[in-house]
Amino acid sequence: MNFLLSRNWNTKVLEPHAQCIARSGARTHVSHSSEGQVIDLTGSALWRHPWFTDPAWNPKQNRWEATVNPGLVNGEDPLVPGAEIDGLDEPGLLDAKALPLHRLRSVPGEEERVDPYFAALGVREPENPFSISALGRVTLDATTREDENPLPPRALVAMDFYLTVARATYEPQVSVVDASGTSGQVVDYSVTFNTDNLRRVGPRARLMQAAKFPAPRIPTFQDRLAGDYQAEGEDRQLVSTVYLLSPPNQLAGEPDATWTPYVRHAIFWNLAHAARNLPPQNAKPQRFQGTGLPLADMLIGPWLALQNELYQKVLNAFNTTSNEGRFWTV
Amino acid sequence: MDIRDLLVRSGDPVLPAVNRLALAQRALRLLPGRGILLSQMPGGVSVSARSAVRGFSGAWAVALSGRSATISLGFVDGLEPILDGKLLSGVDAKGNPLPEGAPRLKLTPEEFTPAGKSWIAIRAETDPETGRILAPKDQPPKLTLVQTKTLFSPEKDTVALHAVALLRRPAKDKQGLGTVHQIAFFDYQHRAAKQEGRWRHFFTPA
Repeated sequence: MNFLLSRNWNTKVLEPHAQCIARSGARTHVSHSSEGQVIDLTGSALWRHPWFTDPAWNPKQNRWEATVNPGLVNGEDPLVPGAEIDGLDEPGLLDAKALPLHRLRSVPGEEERVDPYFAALGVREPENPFSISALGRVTLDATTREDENPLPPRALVAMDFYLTVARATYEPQVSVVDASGTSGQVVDYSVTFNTDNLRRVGPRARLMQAAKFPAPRIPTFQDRLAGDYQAEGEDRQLVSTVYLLSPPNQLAGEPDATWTPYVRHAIFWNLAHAARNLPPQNAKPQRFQGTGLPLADMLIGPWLALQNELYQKVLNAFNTTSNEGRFWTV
Repeated sequence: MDIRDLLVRSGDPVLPAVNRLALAQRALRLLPGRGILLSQMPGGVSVSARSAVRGFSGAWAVALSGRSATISLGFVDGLEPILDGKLLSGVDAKGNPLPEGAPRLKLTPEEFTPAGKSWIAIRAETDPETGRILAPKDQPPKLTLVQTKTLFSPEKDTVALHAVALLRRPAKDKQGLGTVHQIAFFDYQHRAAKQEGRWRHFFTPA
């Protein structure tokens, strides 16, 4: 029978334990609880650029949150739908406090590979794609390429903060007129000026969060010519991406305090945004006479240089019927 | 957390001591607070504190003082604004510092929106033909700074407004000047484009 002597317990077992008790140093504060030791930076007056995103674990709410340093768009702070402020349905970013991170995606995922930075920390590309789980529950395919990365495997989740600004849209309407009995010879073209989203949402920017930033959909020439796309009614700009990295050898579970946050900022300064938001100059219907070829030929005509003059007319018309706005640094 | 609670004496049962130690081990987990980054690495935990970079202030930095504001030097198209008839930098035509110091922008609590917002803005008068900022030879440019409660309705389309700072006060406070939120950090170049018969003005960092 083996005995554990009390002096061995009090020295060999407890001494290493005692050495792990954190103490406050310069400009730091350590608070102890049954759940762990929280280290805070104190007394600092850090300069942070607009949109600086600072994720932190909230031990009281048991969740990850992030503060976004107020940035301004056209001189005003964006509204933050869903922010938790007493008495305000939709506070501005100047009033919003920490925002809970409640939409997370797994990385790698569909159309997203592991950044080499995280690959060097142990995040691996699965051999087979895996499903993106909801609310941060990570399920990673067990079959990873062990030989390529000797580090202990880790899971990675991420989410995006982004800005939206509503604007009017121009929606081209294209119809084929069968004037001579041969379908597709004549095309009628008109533009609808739609301000529904602008009137409903208003011109002030909004700070949103999503598992994945919905990149602006820019319609192609074919989309415009065919008139079969739905204008989005808003412009979007990525603000930052928050990543949460699991401890080594942990490939499942909801992110908790043991995970490590990383932030990739996309913008660093205040912004201006402008869209035309005026009726287009060529809103009146126009008619383009083809050369007897069907509409399908007209679609590929520009590349074949068979109908350059007609193509140029159509292109000129469409170039003045776009209302995509622009963000720029101020 | 007191390590003495975990000490044992000869004859003490082992299992309760182990249980106490397990709970104490949980309490030793390091958790990151504000400004702290913990990185769990195979060899241990790395603790990083964000560096305290102080004092960045670019062009147009606004500081409130009483019922007025001082604004640090900034340029638009290489032109220095005129405030209260003086160069914003507070020097005379020969470059000598003015005895009264840099000019101040007088602020008024009336120039706030009902929501408690006001802006300090660059105000530029532009040529109705070319759209460029008026800068007659041997005269100061038509470029100054103003307090305004609207950025979108200048009196004429030849007048350009561009906010450099937002003043914000609680909506209930009708007399205060609130706090400053800096918007602009850079010198600017100004461009104007005529659209639908009206000038539109754009300020981009130079």
